[in-house]
Amino acid sequence: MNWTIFLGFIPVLAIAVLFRAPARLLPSIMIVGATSWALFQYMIMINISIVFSAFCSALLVGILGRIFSRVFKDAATLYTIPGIMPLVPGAGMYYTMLYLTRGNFEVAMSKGMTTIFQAGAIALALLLVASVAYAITRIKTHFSK
Amino acid sequence: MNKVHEKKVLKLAVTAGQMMMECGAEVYRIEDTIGRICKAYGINEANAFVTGTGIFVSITPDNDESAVQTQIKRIYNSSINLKKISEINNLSREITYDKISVNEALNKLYEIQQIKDYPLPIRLLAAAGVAVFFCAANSGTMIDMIVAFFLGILCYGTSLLLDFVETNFFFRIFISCSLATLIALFLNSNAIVTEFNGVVIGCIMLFVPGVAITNSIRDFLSGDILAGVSRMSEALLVAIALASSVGVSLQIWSVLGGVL
Repeated sequence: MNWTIFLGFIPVLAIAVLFRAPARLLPSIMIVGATSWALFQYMIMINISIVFSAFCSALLVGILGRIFSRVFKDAATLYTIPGIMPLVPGAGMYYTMLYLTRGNFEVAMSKGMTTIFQAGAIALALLLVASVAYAITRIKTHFSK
Repeated sequence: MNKVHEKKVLKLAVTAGQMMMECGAEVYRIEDTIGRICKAYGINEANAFVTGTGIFVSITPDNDESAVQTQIKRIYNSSINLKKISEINNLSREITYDKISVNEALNKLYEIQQIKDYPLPIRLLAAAGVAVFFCAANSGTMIDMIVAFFLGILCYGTSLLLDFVETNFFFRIFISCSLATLIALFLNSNAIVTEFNGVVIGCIMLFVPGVAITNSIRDFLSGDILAGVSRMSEALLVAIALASSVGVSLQIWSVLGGVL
């Protein structure tokens, strides 16, 4: 087991500082990042594919981000931008390049495809959450009139 | 309604939009904010067209076609600043609900423009934190993590320096990451670093295009295909810069006779 599973708040805090997030939102951003990273690592640990793990974790980021943005009356992007950073396949990109330079094209191809799918999965998850949230607000305004 | 008032409202809306775009907000949020500001000050017909490189706003006061006013703002560079996005968001809420005057709103906007960044040492420490964490997550040892700490600082520092002399983002990312990769490989050949993969990944994670991906999806979703495509290609370019910098460094290293 990778011991970093409990430390997901560290990269998110650091990324949030690099993106100049307001100091009052840092604790809630850390909660979003820590839970999604823990889910991501746990799903990989129990042998679920990395693409689906990234999809579920990004869903969690999106949903928690929406909830917190409602609570603190702020834009949801403030949570999703730092929140998904640990899930972005930087490692996959690197290993693809490493195997390419070693001339091992089969492994490079499979790593590359996983990388692209992982990025796509994150994007899809965020898209789903945003669409559902938009639909919910539309329904709410429709019935409150 | 007089002309001076309209001019001021237009200026307020366009400046707010420009600042949001420079801080990395999504297109739909900017268009929405511009519309809200104009509406709050009694201009019901306001059309905004926002792309990653420019903002076009046209207002029609009192539905009088002869009084149409238009302003165009070109946007040159952008760097993510979540705090400013949040503050402008709050300002637009204030304008809508609390009905503050145009001059007051403009002053507040200029105040937001002056918001200070986190101090440099903290930002460097944050960059180091990212590098150390992803080094650890990719099975780095204790010594690797110490190396990653300093390489993270070096990487981010180089990128800041190149940003200061206004080089483009491709070159900036390419140089910063190549430097980190070559140093990691050098330390690996001297048996200081045992798992150089983790060290390099730590430095790569500083530059991955997470924001561009997130924002382009939002833009596609709200129908701003043009902005979505431009952001998506930006994400792709960053990814290519990262991959090619690592690839070129590894290739140079093996040509120079180093072991991988």
